[in-house]
Amino acid sequence: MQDNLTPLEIDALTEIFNIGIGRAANSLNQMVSQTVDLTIPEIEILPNKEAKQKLDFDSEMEISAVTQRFSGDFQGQALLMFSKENGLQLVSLLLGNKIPIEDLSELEQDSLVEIGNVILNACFGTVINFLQSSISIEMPEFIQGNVNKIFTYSSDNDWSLYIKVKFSLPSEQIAGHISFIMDITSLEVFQESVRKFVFGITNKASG
Amino acid sequence: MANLSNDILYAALNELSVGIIIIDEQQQLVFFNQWLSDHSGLYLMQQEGKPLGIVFPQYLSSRLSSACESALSLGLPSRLSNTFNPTPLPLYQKNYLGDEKHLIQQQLSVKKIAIDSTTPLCQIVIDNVTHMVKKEQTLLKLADENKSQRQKAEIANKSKSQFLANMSHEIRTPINGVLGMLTLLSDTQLSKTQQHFSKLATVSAETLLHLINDILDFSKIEAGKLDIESVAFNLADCIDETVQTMAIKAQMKDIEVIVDNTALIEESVIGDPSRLKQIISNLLSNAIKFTDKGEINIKVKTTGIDTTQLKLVVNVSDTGIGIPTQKCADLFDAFTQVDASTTREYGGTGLGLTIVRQLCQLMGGDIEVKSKQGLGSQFIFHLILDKGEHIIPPLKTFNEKPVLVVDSNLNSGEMLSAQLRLWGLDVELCNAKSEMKSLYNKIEKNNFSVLLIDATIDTFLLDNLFTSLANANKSQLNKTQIILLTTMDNDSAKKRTLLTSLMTKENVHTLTKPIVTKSLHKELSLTYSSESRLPERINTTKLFESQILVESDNEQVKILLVEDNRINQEVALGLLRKMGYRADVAKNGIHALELLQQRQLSTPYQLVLMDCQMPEMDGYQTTIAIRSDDKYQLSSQVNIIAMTANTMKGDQEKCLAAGMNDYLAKPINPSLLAEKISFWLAN
Repeated sequence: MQDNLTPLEIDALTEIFNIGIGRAANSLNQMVSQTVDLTIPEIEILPNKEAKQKLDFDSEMEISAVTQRFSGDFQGQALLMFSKENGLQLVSLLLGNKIPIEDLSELEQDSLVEIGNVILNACFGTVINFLQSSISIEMPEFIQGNVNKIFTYSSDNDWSLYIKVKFSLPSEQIAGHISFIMDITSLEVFQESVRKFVFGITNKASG
Repeated sequence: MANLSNDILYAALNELSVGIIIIDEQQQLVFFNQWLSDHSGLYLMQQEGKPLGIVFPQYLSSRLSSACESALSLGLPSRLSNTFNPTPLPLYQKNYLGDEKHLIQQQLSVKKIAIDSTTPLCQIVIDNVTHMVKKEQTLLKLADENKSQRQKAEIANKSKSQFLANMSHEIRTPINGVLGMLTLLSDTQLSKTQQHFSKLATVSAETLLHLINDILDFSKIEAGKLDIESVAFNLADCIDETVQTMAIKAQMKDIEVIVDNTALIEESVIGDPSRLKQIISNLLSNAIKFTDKGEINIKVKTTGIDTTQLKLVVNVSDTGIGIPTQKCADLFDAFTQVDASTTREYGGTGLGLTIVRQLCQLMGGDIEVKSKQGLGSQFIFHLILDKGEHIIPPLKTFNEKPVLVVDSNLNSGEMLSAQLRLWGLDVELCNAKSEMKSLYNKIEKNNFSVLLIDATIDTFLLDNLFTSLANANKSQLNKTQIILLTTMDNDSAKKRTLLTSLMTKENVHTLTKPIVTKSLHKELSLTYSSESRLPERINTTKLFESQILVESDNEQVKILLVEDNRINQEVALGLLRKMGYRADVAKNGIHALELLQQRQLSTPYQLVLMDCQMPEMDGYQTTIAIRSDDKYQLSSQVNIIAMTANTMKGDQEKCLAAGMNDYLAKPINPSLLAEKISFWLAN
């Protein structure tokens, strides 16, 4: 790809996603008794293949993921992924379970879907609000399996907007991974809207 | 789609088994379906157009309302799970409207309905998940119960093991006292009847000890606590040693024990020698117990499995009472013997074979039995061993003149011949009973390098044999060498006199039955090389030497006995006295340290016999103090032998780790004690 985003543009992207994710944290805090703080330490745009490696999941490791598809100005699939253990841990902590659980029951899967939904919606909201994009978004779904199963519906030729999410709970730090997977055309549209947005604010600032 | 009228769609929505609410941009109620009406008690006609927050007050500033807001403003769909939002709307089970106990557990989906022609609407779909929640609660409860049950069971099991370990220790201590006292008692002036009673008491105490060992082993296997060791050892030696220790009992009953090692190819192996010994001695002791005349054959075979492992097959067969075929199957179940009367007649716990089978299985093998009542039994077990790295060179072959074997037992003679042939010797086998005449002829031709003669043959026959041999030897320069195959026991006085006189002859060597490969080879090599005659001479006299330990110059040796139990003190002192040793007694570790310190400048102790478990200061602590505290510097290297009733695995390591030199399990075996004492005093 010829036109990568400049470091400034990436910074701006990180900034607006952090605002969005802050809202998600508020929603989560209303839902649960725990205080949750969410931060995004890292955003990157990279080929899907590299994004998969970045996840740091062993090829046979079980992953719990929440996915939402989107279409419109750009289209693709958003994934929020946890290692199975981390997913279990997050749900347990948020539900205030005392007994450690070994597997997510159907209802607990739904809770993970809701958590994922809140976080992914915050990201979508950011994109719609700040980047003025027009996209429509599908209902969240739960997927569990190894990395290949999770990425069944994307190809290695796709690109990924990779966002690392840190869940800070009083007792624990849990890492989640978000991938917005798009084809190259969608990615270019997306990057263009980022550039416009950054251009807009820098112009406002200088003018 | 075009064919569907609004009426049909409306009716279909009302028939759905989920709740549907549609609101407009101002979050005012546009529609809800019949399901919602049924479960809320509200009628659409009365509520239509009202803000949802008025219809359902709890909607205001709820998570549902913010989800609806994002759906309407940004088109973001939301899923509200039951776990985080159990009852977002006041919906009840049908017929229980308004009853808080029958609130419906809900799961909600919120989505924008985007139709170009109208202003955006938002749809809330409500799923009733009450039954699912109940199901999961039940499962969770069951899982919890299961877990706490399991924890309880684990704790119970643990305390059971601990209890057994403690009991084994607690029971051994008094048995130690009983056995020790009986040993001392038998050395005092006793009438015949008293001797008999004391012997019976000893046997009973020994049986009790054996029983406790069996039960402990059994419970360890049951609890999965029995570890199979993995150490390098010599397979042939291990088997030979086991057979030799058991054989004396057989010889007392006049039963021949024959070991056939000829198919044992790999000697250097890695495995658990003590457990292998346990299996073999168990099978042997059964065979001896249930056989009154005849013989016991032990056939050993190894076959390689691959480069690292081999299979050991051992067949122990006897000519005893046998087992009815239908009973063979449950022979290996715990607490089974052929019938209750067998237990009474022959004794035993009925745990032996169970332990044997479990041990075989733990070592990757199994055991089977073939038997016919009245015709003896065969126990065949196999197990898997690792091949050892150490390669043992094959025994040297001989190229001397033929050998003559004179045996009264056919099997034993054949086994012996087969073994000798393996070493390259020509063998002639002669049965002492049936082929006596040709035997004399053969001897007179005197064409043999060595004669192997079974000493259990008739005394008269033996005497004659030697006479004719002496005649034949007169004309020879080199006398024919003779190896006498003797038993460990059970010779009549007359036989003993004859044997003693024979053994003083310089061409006569002895070998104790059961004949094992190594000693046979060694004896043959010695026989063929003349220079080793003298030391052998001394060894042979040992055969008839009394086993009683003689008083000697042990008086001045200073031993410190550290033992808290008064009975055990007396037992140990009595045993020591019998060996001619004197000892001071310390009743615990602190006392022992005081004595050591007092004595170290004048006549320091040379040996400490240390009990491990004592009040105030135990044996381990005491040993560590002796070895490391400067106060006992002059005695810091004194030899310490642990004496403990703890026989759990790891005790020995614990003793050695504390700095003790050696280890003796209680009840103290007198001859082992004597052996260890003389060894450590010599060091």
